Amino acid sequence: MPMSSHEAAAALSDIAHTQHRAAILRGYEQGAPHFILWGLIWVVGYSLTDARPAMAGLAWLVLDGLGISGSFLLGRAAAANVPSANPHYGRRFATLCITMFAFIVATYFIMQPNSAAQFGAFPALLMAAIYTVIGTWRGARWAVCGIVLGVCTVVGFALFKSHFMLWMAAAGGAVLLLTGLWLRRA
Amino acid sequence: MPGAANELVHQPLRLKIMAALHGLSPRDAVEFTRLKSIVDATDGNLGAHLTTLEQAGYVRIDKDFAGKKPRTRVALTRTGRLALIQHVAYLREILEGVAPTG
Repeated sequence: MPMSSHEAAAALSDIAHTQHRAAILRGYEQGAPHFILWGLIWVVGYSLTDARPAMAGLAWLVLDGLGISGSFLLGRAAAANVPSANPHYGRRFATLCITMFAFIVATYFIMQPNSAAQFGAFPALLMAAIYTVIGTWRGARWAVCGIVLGVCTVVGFALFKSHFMLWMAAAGGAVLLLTGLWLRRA
Repeated sequence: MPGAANELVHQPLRLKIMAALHGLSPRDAVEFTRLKSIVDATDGNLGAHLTTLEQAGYVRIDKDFAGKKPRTRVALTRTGRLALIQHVAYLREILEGVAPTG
């Protein structure tokens, strides 16, 4: 029996909805291990910054190096499971890291932060904004993480400035770790 | 490409399965558990419809191990991709008033 236009429209809507959901869940699956990795790095990094402020620069250099290497390996492993994944993954990842690093260094140079809390808050706020924007296209869970992370950063800066690094280790690290687990369960 | 109604594809869950797989490239596969989340189905229901699609030659089901865990991966075949494209074209023709409607 021929189909009605109402049925046809409903079927096309189902197709679009399913493909959108598939893309979002794939993004969650791919993003989850990165959140867990960086959550651990934040816990260690901000804790070390609080305990040994003089060594913070070196600690973050090492930890960021580990995080970037880990993210690269995680992304490459995910791409290996998807034969059609972009063959220029390595180049794109390097471009992303260099751009982020350059942006943060340039902003510090221009804005001249004068407290440890400002140094610590800026990368967290930047990531919060990026996750929120990603969430606009790639699923609400990214945006929820970005908003919660941003609020935690501002609240910590306003209310707990003397213990800001510990606050970020606990709250910021927890937000990233819990987001990773949340995305993995999607 | 001219549209063609396909009753096998048009069943709601099978249409969702094929739409989810069609979003991947021809060489990619999706794990059974992931597909279950995407189409929001139970194990039994999804398994039954995948068997129907496999018998029609629309999907390929590969079973292997990821470490020690058994893994089932599903991919759309070339025949399945073509069937979905033709069915979607048919649905669009209905909306545009080209194909006869019920």
